[in-house]
Parts: sequence; structure tokens; C-alpha cells
Amino acid sequence: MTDEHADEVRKHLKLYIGVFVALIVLTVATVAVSKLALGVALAVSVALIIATLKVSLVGAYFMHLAWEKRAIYALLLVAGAFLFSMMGLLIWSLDAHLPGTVKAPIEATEKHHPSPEGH
Amino acid sequence: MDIPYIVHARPDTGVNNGKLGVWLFLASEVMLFGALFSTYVFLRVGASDWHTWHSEAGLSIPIGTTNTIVLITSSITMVMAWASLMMKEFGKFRLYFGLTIALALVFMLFKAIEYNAKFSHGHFPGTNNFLAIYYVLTGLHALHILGGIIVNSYLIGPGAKLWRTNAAQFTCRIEAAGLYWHFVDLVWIFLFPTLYLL
Repeated sequence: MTDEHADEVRKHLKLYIGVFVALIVLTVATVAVSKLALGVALAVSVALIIATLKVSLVGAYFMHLAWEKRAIYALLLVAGAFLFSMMGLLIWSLDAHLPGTVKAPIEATEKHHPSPEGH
Repeated sequence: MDIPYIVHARPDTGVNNGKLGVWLFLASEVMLFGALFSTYVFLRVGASDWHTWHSEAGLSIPIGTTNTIVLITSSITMVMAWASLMMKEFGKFRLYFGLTIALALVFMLFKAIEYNAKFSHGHFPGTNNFLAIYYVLTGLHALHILGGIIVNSYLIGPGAKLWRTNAAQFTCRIEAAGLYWHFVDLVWIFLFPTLYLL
């Protein structure tokens, strides 16, 4: 915690306030967009894009990931890889093992159980 | 026995052990909340009456939006608290850190009002799958807020004595508490549109 560090932090104060204002604006935007009569797919996409943008701002500046060391990036890369694998497995399982779920609800597919193929 | 590298960076990782430890913990949290978000997707895609359940639950968008703004504000006060310590301004740290705890309490108050309204209308976790995942996700998140309040209250109370004896270590502790707090904010940023708006 040298004077050098203190000067560096002082320089970032305006940036932190800017990020805060951006986060508030994006929150209002999320609510405003949800009031529009968009289709489900578009509404979900827009909401997730705004949320990802907000999360990136918090991560990059408030959590200092924009200036972090390689060890932390490596750690997050591993966590991210497992997270996306898990999400990927979920989507794959919906597609491969529950073929009726996307087009029709589970209740509808349950009526066909038990099926010889195990679907 | 002194724990090594609690203030200065380890030469091999480039960060101090406390920070690495908090990031490891947060990486595990990514998986915990990620698994629950996957559960949400699975339940939603497979549900026949999701929109009916969602509208019957009657989640308050004004309360959800207010709580989002409250948490974002608590994140900036947390950053300012840490920055104040870096600039050796302990008085400002107390102000900003105190505000962070106060905002966390405001969040919990709104959450309690929301839960109370749901319970009084007979909306319990067992009512339907939407309410089940709503209570699990928001309940687990609220427990994280509570944990943050407890740790932060210690740090502004008895834990603050460390500032007088080892200011650098105290600043590292606040940085670690801040990382956790921003993560809790980050989870809510995804929870709010997912549960309230979509």
C-alpha cells in the first residue's frame, strides 16, 4: 500500500462512478425492454445480453479483473469451462433424451411412458 | 505460525494467498449457482404452465428493480470503502463500509416484505415448480447477503482494530470481502431478469 498505489486508486475513482451510472442505466433498460412486446426468444436474448454486459462491468472494474494476474484468469477459465460444459450437457440432454420437452411439455410426454426405447 | 503471503504477492501466482483463496471460493460458487440456473432452464423448458405460475406468483417488478439498484449501489460503496483504505482515509472507509452494510439490510427488508406477501397469499415452495426454483435461488442468494452482513459487521466492528496494527493486511481483508460482495451482486444481476421479467 504505497503512495504509488494510492495515486493509482485515486485515478480510478471517476471510472468507478462511471461504471455505477452505466449499471443503473442498464438496469432501467432491462425493465424498459421487458415492457416491449418482444417474442420470448428475443426477450430472453436481449435480457441476457444486458445482464452479461452488466456482469462484465462489475467483474472488470469493481472486481478488478481488467488488471488481474494470470493465475486468477486461469482459475476463472477452468470454472467457466465447467459451467459451459454443464450448460451444454443440459441443452444436449433436453435435445437427445427428452425430445418432446421443447415442443411439448413434460406432462404430455409422460403419458407415453413407459416406452420400450426408454425415452 | 504465520501464514505466508497474506499481504504480499506470492512470486509464482502473482497474487496474495487471501485473494487466491477468495477467487477459488468464488469459482466454486459459480458452479453452485450455475447448477441452479441449469435447474431453472430445465424446469422452465419442461413446464406446461410456466407463464401461469409466473403470473400467479405476482412478483413485484418495482421491488425487484429497487433491490437491484440497492445492490448495485452497495457495490459502489464497497469499492469506495476499499479505495478509501488504499488512500489511507479510514474515516471515509467507515462511512462507505457502513453504507454497504445498511444497503444490504435494506435489500433483506425488501426481500422479507416480498416473502411475507407470497406466504400470505399461500404461495409456498411446494405450490409449483416456478415458486420452488424462485425460493431456492432467491433464498440461497439471501443467505449469501446475510453471510456478507455478518462478516462485514465484524470487519467494521472488532475486526477494524487490525487497521491500527497492520493496515496493509486489513486492506487485503476488505478487498477480499469486496470480491465476495460484488459476486453476490453479480448473481442478482442474472436472477432479477430471469425470475422477475422473463
